[in-house]
Amino acid sequence: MKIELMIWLKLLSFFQTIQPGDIKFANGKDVLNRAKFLYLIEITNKDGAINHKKRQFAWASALLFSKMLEWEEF
Amino acid sequence: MIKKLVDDYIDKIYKDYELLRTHTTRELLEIDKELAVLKYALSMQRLSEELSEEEMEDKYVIMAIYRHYPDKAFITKWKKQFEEALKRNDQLLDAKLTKEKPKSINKDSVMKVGAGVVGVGMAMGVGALYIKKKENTKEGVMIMKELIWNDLTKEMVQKALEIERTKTLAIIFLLGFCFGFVFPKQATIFLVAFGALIYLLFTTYSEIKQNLTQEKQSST
Repeated sequence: MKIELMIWLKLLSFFQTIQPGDIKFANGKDVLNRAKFLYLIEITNKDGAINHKKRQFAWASALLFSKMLEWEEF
Repeated sequence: MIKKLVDDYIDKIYKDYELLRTHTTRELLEIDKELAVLKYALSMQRLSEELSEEEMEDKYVIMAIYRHYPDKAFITKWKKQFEEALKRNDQLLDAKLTKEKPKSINKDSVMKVGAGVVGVGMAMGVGALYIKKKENTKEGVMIMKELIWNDLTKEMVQKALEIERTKTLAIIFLLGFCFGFVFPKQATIFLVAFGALIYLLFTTYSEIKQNLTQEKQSST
């Protein structure tokens, strides 16, 4: 439970403090670079104007999925 | 593996992203026609809307993503205009959209990351303090158990535990207040940490209470 809590805290701190614009896309294989990549794919898929809320949602899901990629199952 | 799939795509897209960033449309035409079309589309988009450097960087990646899309509708849409631009020798074909500037660290990002690290650090610090306190409380309970044998009533022991709990909560609350005051954006992180600590605190005290009850039952 404590480990899970730390993961959530880490993700939450990323979400609260780092915006996709703060990260420059590179070919690194770290959580943030993967998250940036997934975020860009997510907003590329959207048709029409993307509002702030949708961008926030895309960023949150990209961060979560990027962290999940570090699990053995993936 | 999904992870490998994502990483492979990152490599592919990064390669195209670098080409798009560093070459003009005309140069890209010699390397890859689809990339040249995408670069031209981006040049046209930049004419119609004001884009910051960060937004431009994102646009390069998005264009590189389009290059690997199974659906080529976007490229087909711009291909005709690109052919026309080639015929009339449009000056956009030689436009370099990125201004090369010396690499510097974004101060705002450093501040944000720093604040985040401090936030998590504080939450971890409070957690560590709590765990240490929990250990001390366990020792305290052992002493108190001995005191019970010295005719100290159960009520007195519980009163002592109540005081300890109030003190711990007061310390956490004070830290939370200071933290929320200094870093309002990171207050959410603290709230989560605070909630987790409260949960741990109450579960520990219920354990202690249970232990005391069991101890009393076994002594009687």
